[in-house]
Amino acid sequence: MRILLVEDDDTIAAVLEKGLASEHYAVDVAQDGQMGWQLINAFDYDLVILDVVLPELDGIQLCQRLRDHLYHMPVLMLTALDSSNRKIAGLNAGADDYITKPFELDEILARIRVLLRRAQAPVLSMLSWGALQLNPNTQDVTYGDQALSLTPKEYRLLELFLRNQSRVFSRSAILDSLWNCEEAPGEDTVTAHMKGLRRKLTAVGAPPDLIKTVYGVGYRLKPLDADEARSAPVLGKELADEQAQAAPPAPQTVQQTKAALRSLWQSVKPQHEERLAAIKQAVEALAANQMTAELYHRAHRAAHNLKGALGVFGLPVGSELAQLIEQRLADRELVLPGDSPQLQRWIAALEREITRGPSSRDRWDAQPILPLLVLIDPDLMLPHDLAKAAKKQGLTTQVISDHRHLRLLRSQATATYQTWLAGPSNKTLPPLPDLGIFSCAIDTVDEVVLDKLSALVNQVPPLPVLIGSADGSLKSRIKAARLGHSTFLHNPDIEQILGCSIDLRSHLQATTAKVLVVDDDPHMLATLRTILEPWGVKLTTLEHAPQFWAILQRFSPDLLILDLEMPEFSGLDLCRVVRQTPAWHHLPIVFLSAHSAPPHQHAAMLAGANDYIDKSLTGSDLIKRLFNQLKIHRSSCSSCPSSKALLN
Amino acid sequence: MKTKRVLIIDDEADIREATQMCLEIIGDWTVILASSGYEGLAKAVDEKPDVILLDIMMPGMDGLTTMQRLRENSDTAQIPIILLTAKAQSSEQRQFNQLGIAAIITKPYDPYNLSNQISAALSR
Repeated sequence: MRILLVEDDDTIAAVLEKGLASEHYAVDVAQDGQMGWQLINAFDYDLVILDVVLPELDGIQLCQRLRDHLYHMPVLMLTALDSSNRKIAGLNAGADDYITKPFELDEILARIRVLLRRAQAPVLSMLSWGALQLNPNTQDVTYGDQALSLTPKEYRLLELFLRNQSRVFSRSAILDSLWNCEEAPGEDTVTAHMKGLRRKLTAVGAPPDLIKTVYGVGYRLKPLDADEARSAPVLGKELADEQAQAAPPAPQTVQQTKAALRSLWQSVKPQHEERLAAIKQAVEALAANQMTAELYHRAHRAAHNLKGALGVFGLPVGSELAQLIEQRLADRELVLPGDSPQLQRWIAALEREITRGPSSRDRWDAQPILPLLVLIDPDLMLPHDLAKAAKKQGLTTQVISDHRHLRLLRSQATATYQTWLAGPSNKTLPPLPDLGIFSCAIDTVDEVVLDKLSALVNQVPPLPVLIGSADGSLKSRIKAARLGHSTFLHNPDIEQILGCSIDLRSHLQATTAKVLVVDDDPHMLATLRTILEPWGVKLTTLEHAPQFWAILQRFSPDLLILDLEMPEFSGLDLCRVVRQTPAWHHLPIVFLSAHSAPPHQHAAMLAGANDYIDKSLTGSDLIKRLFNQLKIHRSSCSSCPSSKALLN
Repeated sequence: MKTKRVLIIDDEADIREATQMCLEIIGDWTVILASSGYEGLAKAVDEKPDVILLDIMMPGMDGLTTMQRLRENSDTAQIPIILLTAKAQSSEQRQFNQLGIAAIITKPYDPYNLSNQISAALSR
């Protein structure tokens, strides 16, 4: 169990920390509300103890913020103010209980036990699993009639599993639950404690796999067999009944499964690469008019297998591409050398998908892929002809007849993206088409219309645009470029438009970047949050540099943004610390500073920074610079497996 | 709570392993694996699983032949079979349905919903 104590009085904090530690809770202490908020964003706490009067952000404001951000852990308010109004304000802000100073340590500990029990195990005070019993009040553990003598960490480890009987815990999740930031041991420590616990359980007659290892994920309680379940207390049975009703899996379980699949992906990736190589070889033979029956069958089967496997591993675009290849190869008699350019484009897109692998993002659903807006010159083809051909390729389309329809598509895309950003929800929106096809000759479009188009396209998130123009002059290209994220094709045929569309869509399945920002200016942190979060960036902000190392290790960012001057440790200090650690050699570090003089920039670069950005830079320019660093980092990671392994 | 046991017969090692992982984490299944129709038949007789997930397209003994053999053996004839297939055309689905299967699950399946799909098929 991990508890956050937010208390600015060092004496009280020390007493409480000691008392909680003696009960085997892992405790982190924050001296002010802002630091408390940062820790809550970075770690999972089972309970928060909040002093009401705090510097920076008071306890009631912090509690309100917690509930506004859908944190549901129990909150116990702690204050010297014995005033009904403050108690009511605290409870209204979402606190679960209130205790006034001076307090008895035993009373606080008892209230914490009650809050935790209420939150996690509503049925029983005694935790049981088959013949195993753990009494949280007396801390006695027995198996059958035999008592177990456990170390404090072994006890907390067992309690963790008994309170979460169907959950699989990874080693890092166990670390987060049982150790505090300052201890921060490695995952081997968990393995060692687990070994000790299993040995003691086996010694009293428990099965050796009572806590079983789930391949590639972590540990869980082994499900009880029928006889054990009948004699087992209620908690296990209730969970079984719930599962029998086929309720959707809990988000936490889905996340565990996703993590397990991502981990498995690394070991099965070579199989997918072999399948891709088989398809490549066959298509090369096809282009050279040397296709054989064996090559054909191998390629067809490889595409078939990829279609099934990539979808399961969370690469839906890859699965779609494999399906297109499989369909094109369906009948050997009908596969002609002329099909090879299209097949090669799909293969290239598929290769990128496999190289990129499943997204590591933590969100409930994959990021929605926005519709590709295709502006097609009416002199080249009719939108309906393009839509018909796209349908044959398995793409969904929406032909846009006027600006009103275009605005509608824009608002649908924005709504879908915002729903996704808001996180898990039951809200369902109509599916977005793969392509929005709009008849438009870019060379003759007037400035007013172009401005309107640009405004629609470039709202957050910007829509990608593909422009097919009969006029390839510089003037037309410049007009097209004003639309932003556009691709220009001169005199394309339908085949080229569709090939390019599939290619672009495979690029659009972006992954979320994790960015850690260290800056002592809370306004700057708030500004960065406003700028970056609409782009799907997962942001952790840190105002106090002393917490930096623990948060860096746990959050494992893809990009680090540092302020230059901070109290305690400067950005240069932190940058050097990061660079002297091999696992972080490749982490992009960007300085964001109000000091634009060259000596500061030189110092940052010498310390190991990748870029130095002036704080006065506008939002869009800042995003470009940051995303550029992420892009370089990702391409270097994918081309350098060893560096990627270090980061993972 | 009786642990449910599922036999997965699929020649693709990655799919076998991913399916095992999903069912162990979501749904508490005990998973038995077989990489071919022959191995599947032997394990079905030995282990008597509660349900069999059977891939259709396998080299050697394909899924439909494996299913036929399972039905012919009195030890395995009553075990519900769910077909895993990438072929989803309605004519083929009708053909599969006539073979008395519990359900068809189309590949790529939804890994987070697979356990529920199997449970729903068994409760019908």
